Amino acid sequence: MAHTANTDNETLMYENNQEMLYLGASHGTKEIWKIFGWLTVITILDIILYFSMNPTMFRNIIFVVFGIVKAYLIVGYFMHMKHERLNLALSIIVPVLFILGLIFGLLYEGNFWSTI
Amino acid sequence: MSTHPVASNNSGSVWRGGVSPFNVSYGKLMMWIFLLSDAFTFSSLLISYGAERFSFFGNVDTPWPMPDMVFNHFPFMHHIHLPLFFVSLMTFILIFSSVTMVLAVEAGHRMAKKEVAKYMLLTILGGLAFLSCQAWEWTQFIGDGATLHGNHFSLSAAGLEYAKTLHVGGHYEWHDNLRQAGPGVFSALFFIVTGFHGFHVFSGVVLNVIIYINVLKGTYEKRGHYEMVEKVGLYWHFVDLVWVFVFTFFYLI
Repeated sequence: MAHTANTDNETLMYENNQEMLYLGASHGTKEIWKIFGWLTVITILDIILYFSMNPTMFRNIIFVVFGIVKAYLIVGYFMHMKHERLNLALSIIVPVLFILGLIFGLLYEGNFWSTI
Repeated sequence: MSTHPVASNNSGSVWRGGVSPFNVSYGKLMMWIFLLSDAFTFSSLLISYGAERFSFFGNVDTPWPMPDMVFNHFPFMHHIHLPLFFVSLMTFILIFSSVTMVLAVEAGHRMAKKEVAKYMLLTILGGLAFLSCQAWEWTQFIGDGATLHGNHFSLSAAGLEYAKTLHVGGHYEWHDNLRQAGPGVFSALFFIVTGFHGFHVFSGVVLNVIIYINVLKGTYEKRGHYEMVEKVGLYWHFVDLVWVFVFTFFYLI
């Protein structure tokens, strides 16, 4: 069988040495509890705003911003994205931005469905 | 000795293969790509909910149901108006199970088998608690007459007046003239989105149980690292992440 760039040997190394890519160092538990604290505080703020503010678009925007902050904390710290290489982070996060197009498109479109 | 000594010393070009340009293992990278595709699925569902809701904006005949008049149940508190209380409890359960998951990953880095097992077990229990809560929430929702194609949650003019008089912790009673047939898509999307999320939680619990058994058997101790715990951890945190948005769009807004 003809082999191109990857020799059998290289393929073996790639498949066997996966654990070399796994960083073994622990970052300690202090940061975990700090992020848990922030997630709890933001959720409690959500609940306080829900009961104390009138349901307006302004309040909805605050809820969405809080949601994005919580998403940032979960992805960045719990899922370790902040400690990953930049090209991995960009490969995952940039495609998510396409969702913004769908949000604006469909919410705008939804305004017209009532008139059909 | 081989002709190609180490993967990282591969003639200086990552394009020849043999090194990871992302500096993560194959399994972890594929988990990230799977989660990206899952994020697209969930956002499509949530955006359809938003579009449907916008299409009912200003609709007087069939007003969109008010979430705090629908999801106001709490166990053992019959007919007491407690909006958001139960779902907040579910949110805290899921956030806490995310914390125990990340503690299991951290213990894995220290090769502390007993601690990994302890935190994995707590994560599984958190997941089961969340699923039980969701089953209870669905039971209330279905008990109030919600189906995949209809519900009775739209407030009539009298119902809107009645809703203003309700206060948190007060007694409530829905008489027939207060509520009318609501948009079927409201209950349909509630079932589909929370059901799809709940199915993810269920799959996460199954995966966590498998990893937990492997931890107890010493599989990862023999392997020399606990990366599998980190991989299921990514999935578990993603489930928590989706819940943040389900909580925001279905209950808060």
